[in-house]
Amino acid sequence: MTHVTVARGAISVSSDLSATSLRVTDTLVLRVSARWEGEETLYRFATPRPVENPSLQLTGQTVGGSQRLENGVFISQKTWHFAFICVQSGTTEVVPPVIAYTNNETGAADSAIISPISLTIAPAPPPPFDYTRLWPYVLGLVVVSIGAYAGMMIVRRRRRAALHRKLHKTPEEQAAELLEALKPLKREDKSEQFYGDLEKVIQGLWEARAGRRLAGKTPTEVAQVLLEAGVSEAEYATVREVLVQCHHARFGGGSGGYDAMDKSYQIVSAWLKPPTGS
Amino acid sequence: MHPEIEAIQQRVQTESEFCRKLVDEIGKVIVGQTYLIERLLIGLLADGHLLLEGVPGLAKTMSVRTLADAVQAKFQRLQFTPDLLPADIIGTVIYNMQNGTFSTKKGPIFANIILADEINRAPAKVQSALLEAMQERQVTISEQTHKLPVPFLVLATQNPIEQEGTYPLPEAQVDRFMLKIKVDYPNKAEERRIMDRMTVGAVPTVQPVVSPEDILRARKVVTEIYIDDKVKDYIVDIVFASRRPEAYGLDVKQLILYGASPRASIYLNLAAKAHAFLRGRGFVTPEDVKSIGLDVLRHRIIVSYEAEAEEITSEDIIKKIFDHIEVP
Repeated sequence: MTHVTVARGAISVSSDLSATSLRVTDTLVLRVSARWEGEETLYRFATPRPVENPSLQLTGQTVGGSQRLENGVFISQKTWHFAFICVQSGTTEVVPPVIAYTNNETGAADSAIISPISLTIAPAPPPPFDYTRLWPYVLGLVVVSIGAYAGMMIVRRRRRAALHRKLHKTPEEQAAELLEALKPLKREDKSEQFYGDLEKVIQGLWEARAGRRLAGKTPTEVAQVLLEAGVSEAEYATVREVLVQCHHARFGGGSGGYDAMDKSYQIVSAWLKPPTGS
Repeated sequence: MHPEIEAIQQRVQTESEFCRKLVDEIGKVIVGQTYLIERLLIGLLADGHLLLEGVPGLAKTMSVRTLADAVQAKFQRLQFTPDLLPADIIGTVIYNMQNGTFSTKKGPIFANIILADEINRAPAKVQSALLEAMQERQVTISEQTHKLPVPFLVLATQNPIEQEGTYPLPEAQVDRFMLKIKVDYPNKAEERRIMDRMTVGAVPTVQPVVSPEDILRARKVVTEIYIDDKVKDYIVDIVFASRRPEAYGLDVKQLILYGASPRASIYLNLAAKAHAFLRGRGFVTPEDVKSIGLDVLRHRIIVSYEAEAEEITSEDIIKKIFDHIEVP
């Protein structure tokens, strides 16, 4: 505080800071107060101009005051508030503004100087993490995850479909594959094995078509089952004929050679072809 | 085809030619009954005796008589009655007063084809005498053994109804019959033809078309018919399944008192061969076994009390076994 005694009274000026240790971007308030006791009023004080400081940026100021008369003495008080934002780190001194007044003793302008106040400004704290910056990444991750999941599902579905096709082939597909495997037996004249496998092909194919079990039955029984299942007379007669040939070859020590095997083979192959015509 | 089987096949086709003639000749008299006639031929070819069961009037006796007529063989019909004695069948020794010696009087069993009509009407000692002769193919009269003629085929009939005053054949004796054939009613068309044929006055007759030698030659070929190991195993499985059904996953153990005897395996084999022979084949297929199986097994599986209580017959059990045991 600075106290000045003049002829017509006494002036006291003081100042303080809201804080002396701050960080960049913090707000600082400088309060400057002037009190006059005498024959004059504080209206004699002009509004001070704050001293510029590169570390601080003035953002606003307010002023307030009061006066009263006690025992024939005017007591006047005026207070200025200057608001700053710390813009630069480091140690600096805040120099309060000079309070200018008119000295009635001398009739000249005079001023009351207030001592500077030391201030430490620390660097600004690291800005809080901006999670909004993560949105593109999050979005990207979600898109990639959805894409990966969808891709996985497609692959899985395709694999399952492929597995299903493998495991659940149509009777015609299964029969066609088995027939293909019989070709070497036909060429090598392994008639017993050929007819044994051919019988299984026929049973498998017609079991699926008739919806009845045919394995382990004689040719006549198979024909009877097919007849009951509504298979046409021509078809079940042919099935029986081929099965009889299979049995004759298997239990009668062979067949009529390649030609006989090929004839049976062609008959069974023909069953796999889709029906033609209108 | 294997050369040996092919050779058998050719012999079968040659020797089975008479079967067609025989069937045609029998067909002149008998309408329908193809099942019965085929079984008669199987018995003839496989050298196995047959037991025919059916209600009266189904041409059992006529079929047998016609078969005997068509075969150039000696035929005898024996009507079994409660007062029949063994000597009435096998013969006896007669004292000749003129020269003071005993001479053997052979009974009617000395024939090629015997029809033992209503065999269950004679007492056990008579049945036993016949069945022993069937097995041994010889009879002993007064300490002298006499061979029975060849071929020797006994065709016995029994009536499933009118059981009063009958002597049911013991299981051990029934087992000596190769086939037990159930003769069924003719179908409607056959019935009509029977009526037409038998109401015109003159009953048609048959001529002998087959000699006993033909039959003996055919029998030899029948025994040579090839039967694959797989089919043999199938036969054994069928027979074993009747003894130990649980071992084959069959739930009929409680229904069977006694399973089929080893005679069943032998006769299944022989009858299947004869069945193949009739079809001109030199080898047996499982279809032959299945076709003849019921007739070979129906009298060899003895059902339990539980089965009788539930009215389950041996035929039901055999059908289950055949349905369960898959053909090879």
